[in-house]
Amino acid sequence: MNLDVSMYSIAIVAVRDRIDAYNAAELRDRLDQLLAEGITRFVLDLTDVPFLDSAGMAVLVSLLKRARGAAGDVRLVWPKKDEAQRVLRLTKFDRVFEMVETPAAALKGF
Amino acid sequence: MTMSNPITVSLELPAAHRYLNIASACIEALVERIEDVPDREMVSYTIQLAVQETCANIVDHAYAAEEAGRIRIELALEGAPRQLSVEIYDAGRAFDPAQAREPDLENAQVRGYGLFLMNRLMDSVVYERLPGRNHWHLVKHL
Repeated sequence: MNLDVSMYSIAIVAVRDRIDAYNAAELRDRLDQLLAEGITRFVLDLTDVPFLDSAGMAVLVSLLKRARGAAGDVRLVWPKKDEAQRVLRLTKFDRVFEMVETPAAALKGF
Repeated sequence: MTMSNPITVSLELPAAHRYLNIASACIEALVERIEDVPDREMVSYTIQLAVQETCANIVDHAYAAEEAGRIRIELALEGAPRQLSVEIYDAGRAFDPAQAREPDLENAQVRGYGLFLMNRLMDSVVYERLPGRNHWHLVKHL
């Protein structure tokens, strides 16, 4: 999986591949590492994610629960593909997560 | 692509998450060849996602990590009404609808969105248990 990770006290994780039942585990493992390092605030940049399935969504929710459990949070940058955006709206993830247009916007007030 | 005769495409995959993107690529390529599809990318993505969810469930539950399982997928483009139908077969354990609960959309949860998405995205989703195998019938109007 092609990941770009920038480390501050906030992790900005840009995903550029499908997040599906095959590679969701790799993303989860990387996020688990960050949690283990003490990161509790995450920006997941989904801008270039071409495809997101329920296994990928499970990774997002799992991260959200653990981050909030540690007084942190997860913000999502909208995927640019309308089709992927639709899935986030259908499942109301856009209400559960704070959704932003860009990684820079995600950092404001975080 | 003429609509007078059904166009059919079949593929059979190992029942493993690693290979499910092959079905996505096949659906994308087929939908690209259909003339005059309104909102083509959305339609393609919708069918890809529904098939992905069906097959991922088969891998996880019907075969439950059994390595030798196979999934057969048959795509049929039909003319009247114009629709793409998808038949998906596996020889794993039967699906139990009682185990499939609607997700609580007000409280995000880790599991339970697969069947929900299939039902919301497709025009029809029907499951039937056949002797020794499962059959999913998915339809998307074009």
